[in-house]
Amino acid sequence: MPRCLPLLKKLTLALLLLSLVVSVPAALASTVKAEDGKKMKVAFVYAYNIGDYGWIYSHDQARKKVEEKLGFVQTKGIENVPKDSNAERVLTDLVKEGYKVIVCTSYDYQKTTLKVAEKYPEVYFLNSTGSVVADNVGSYFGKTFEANYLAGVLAGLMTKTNKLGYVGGNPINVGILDVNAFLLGAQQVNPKAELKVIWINTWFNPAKEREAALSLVDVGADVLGHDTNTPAIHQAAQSKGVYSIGRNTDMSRFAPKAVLTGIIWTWDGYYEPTLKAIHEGTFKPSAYWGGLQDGVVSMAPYADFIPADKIKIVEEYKAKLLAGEPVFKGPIYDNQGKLRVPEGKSLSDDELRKVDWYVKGILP
Amino acid sequence: MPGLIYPLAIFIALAAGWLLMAMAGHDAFSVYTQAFSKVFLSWHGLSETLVQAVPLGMGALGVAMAARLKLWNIGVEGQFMFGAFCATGLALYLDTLPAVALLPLMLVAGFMGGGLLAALCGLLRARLGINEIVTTLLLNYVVGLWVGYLVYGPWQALGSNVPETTEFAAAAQLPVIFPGTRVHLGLVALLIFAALCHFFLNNSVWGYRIRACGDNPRAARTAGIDYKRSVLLVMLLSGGLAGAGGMLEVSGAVHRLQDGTTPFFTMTVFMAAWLARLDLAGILVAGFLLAGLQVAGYYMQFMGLPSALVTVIEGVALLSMIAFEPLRLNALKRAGKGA
Repeated sequence: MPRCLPLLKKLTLALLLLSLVVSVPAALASTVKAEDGKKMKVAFVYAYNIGDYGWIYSHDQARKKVEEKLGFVQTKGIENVPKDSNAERVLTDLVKEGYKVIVCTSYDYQKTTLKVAEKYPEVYFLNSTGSVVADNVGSYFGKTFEANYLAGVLAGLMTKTNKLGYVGGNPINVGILDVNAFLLGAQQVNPKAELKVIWINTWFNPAKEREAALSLVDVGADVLGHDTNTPAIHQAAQSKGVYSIGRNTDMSRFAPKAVLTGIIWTWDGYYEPTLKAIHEGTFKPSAYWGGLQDGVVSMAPYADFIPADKIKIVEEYKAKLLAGEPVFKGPIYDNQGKLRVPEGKSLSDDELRKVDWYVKGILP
Repeated sequence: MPGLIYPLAIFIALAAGWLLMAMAGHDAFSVYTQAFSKVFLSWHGLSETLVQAVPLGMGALGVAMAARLKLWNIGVEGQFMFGAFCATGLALYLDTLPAVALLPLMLVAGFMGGGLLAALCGLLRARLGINEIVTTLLLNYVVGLWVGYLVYGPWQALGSNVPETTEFAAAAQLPVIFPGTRVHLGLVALLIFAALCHFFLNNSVWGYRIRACGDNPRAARTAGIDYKRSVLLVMLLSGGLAGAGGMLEVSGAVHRLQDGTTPFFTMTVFMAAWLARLDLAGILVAGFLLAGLQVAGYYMQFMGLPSALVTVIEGVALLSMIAFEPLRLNALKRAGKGA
């Protein structure tokens, strides 16, 4: 008999006793929380942690708001679901757990969403950032470019170097629309404005985001926009004494001297009516693309150091957008000199989804 | 007595997890029983665990192969992806071939792709003495960017904004072996690879040479064993196993090439290899258990545990397994002395 065992036995016993003492009251307490079986179960599937203060956080905030507002739903967020072979199992298992609506919050899930949705026609799936639509699948996204246009107006007013910077995640269509709108907004008030974009090919990498932000400052950019997921850019901007435009959620708490305003998601503007429609049986799957006036995208509060006359100008442009004026209205030339939108024309939603060119003034 | 150490380690791990859950106000008993029954007592959970075990098992075999020669192949993730890339190339461009021809070709391509990539590091190590930990690690990034370029660029599915290729043709997909599940032929391939590795390392001259080089390079050299060639061969096989794993995963489970990999792949396969003390049968068991833990993690989230707590519980479980390893060895030694 090895001599170490008596000690081990004691240790094990002690741990076991300790865990029993702690867990019994907790176990009793948790059995009291009975679940209401009649509620509509809605699952939110997230690719990363909720705590990134970005994209996923904004969805989870909306999840909480919707659960509070709509008495008939019961929600749960599932974190860290990679798009690989795990996603299909998690979606399938959520159906088996009795979820009626499954909200897939990444465009990476699109193919998996369609595959699982086909097998379970009685369950509704909502997929963000995509354009997939089926009998029980709707997709949804927000026109962030509208808010980016307004942020661009403010950036155009605040820049001293006439050079703006933008840290992009991946160069997908909606990202390209964002950078184009950002510069178009700036050019409304500052015809000399130029924009340098760096794509870092990931949505979540604080070190890379910071590095990209610093190199933009090095080439003279003094207002930085972004569509990546962490506050790293704002901290970098503040350390260099330049301005930044927040994204996803209000970023001013991370860098109060840098963040001018922000493009923020208020997803409950979509979730609330959609879940209501599903509950009432009136839901029609579509590729939803809401903007400022739909309340899916909003502007974060303006920093208090911005002069009031500049805010007034931005508000004037905001009023124009809300009145229905398009962001992409001709004439718009791309950065190769080609006329993309003729005078007097503007781009429809379908045309916007095909934009793969950069407007004049975006530096190569 | 040594046999008791593992159950004891598992018990301690469960107790520690219990404590954590209790502190967070969760009913640990029902979490454990539900997670266990969903993963190991239901055909669905069991089959899903087997699906996840294939890439982990192949990666862990690759790690163990290199570790037998005391080489650290940190690049299994890159080799896995590179193997997946090579196999995808054939799946996309030779999609008119029948499955019986295409699938073996893809497997060979995956094996050779991953193998040659690792052999490059082996060559640098053997010829110039460059540390294989650094070279294999850095190649992970190179492969990641290369695959990223392809799936955002020339290989992206037509009309899609998602960074992935189009779904493979049916002939390029490994068949499901148990109808109604996702368990594919890759599971059989994993078992065959493990048996081949076992035979190679324990019953062949080359295996003997490799073990000799690993245990004492100087003595092996003195005995006339070509150390440099052994390094090259071992890295080729190690990367080959990982690359073949990449082929099995894209062809069997994902059916398309995507950018990015599972974030903890390298860590998990190292865990599987070392929990099993590089024993090949043990690797299959460890790979299966770790896959089960991964699947169980999501069920625990369904029960209301936050993802972070699940990760902590998984970490504690692995830590206690490893912390008990010296005790087990100690007990083995004492048992040996007593006999």
